[in-house]
Amino acid sequence: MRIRLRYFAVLRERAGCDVEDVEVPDSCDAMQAFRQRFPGMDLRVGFARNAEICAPSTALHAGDELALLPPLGGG
Amino acid sequence: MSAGTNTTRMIAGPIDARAVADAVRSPAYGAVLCFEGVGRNELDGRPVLALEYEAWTEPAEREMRAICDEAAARWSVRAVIVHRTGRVEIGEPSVVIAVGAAHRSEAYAASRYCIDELKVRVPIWKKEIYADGDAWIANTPAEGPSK
Repeated sequence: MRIRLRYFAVLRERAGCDVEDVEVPDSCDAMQAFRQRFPGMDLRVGFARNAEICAPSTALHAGDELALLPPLGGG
Repeated sequence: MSAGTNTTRMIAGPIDARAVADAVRSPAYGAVLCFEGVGRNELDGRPVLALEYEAWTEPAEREMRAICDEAAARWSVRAVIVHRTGRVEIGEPSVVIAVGAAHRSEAYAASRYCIDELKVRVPIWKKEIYADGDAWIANTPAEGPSK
């Protein structure tokens, strides 16, 4: 199935874009989508599915937008 | 006065801290507390030339408003948070948090709550610019008691 990934900060720079449509397995969860796109990357990443914060184990559906959130640095 | 600093939001230009503080004044409030988070010129001894902030704007503003609402409900205060995006020079505020309260104890508690929650909840990222490169810097847990 196809989902959209949204990147910020270090991941945006690594990917070279803000958003990207990718193909993932139908049973894919948030963490698996991250690992597939950035294999071996050591990052304490957070997730938001369709702009709502979600757990790494959250199941994804075709057409979802998954935002990958690197460790925050506001303030 | 900078435009649009009287409500909680992300802005691209300099923050007028006075305008943010003015936004929380009320005849019922005996305390107005204005916190500025300011770009610092070093990290562990390494000179920092400037900061660069990136935000997921709409969710960041939504989360900052939620934090202000929580502070208002818990301490009967009015809180406004304004945070910058883009390049922030050393000595300039990257975030301004103004709290108006009947008394100082509520103002201090609510202000501390707002900055501590912002650092762990709001989707904003900070890059430090050095003479010879740059790095994304993650927040560390708050020091000391905060709640």
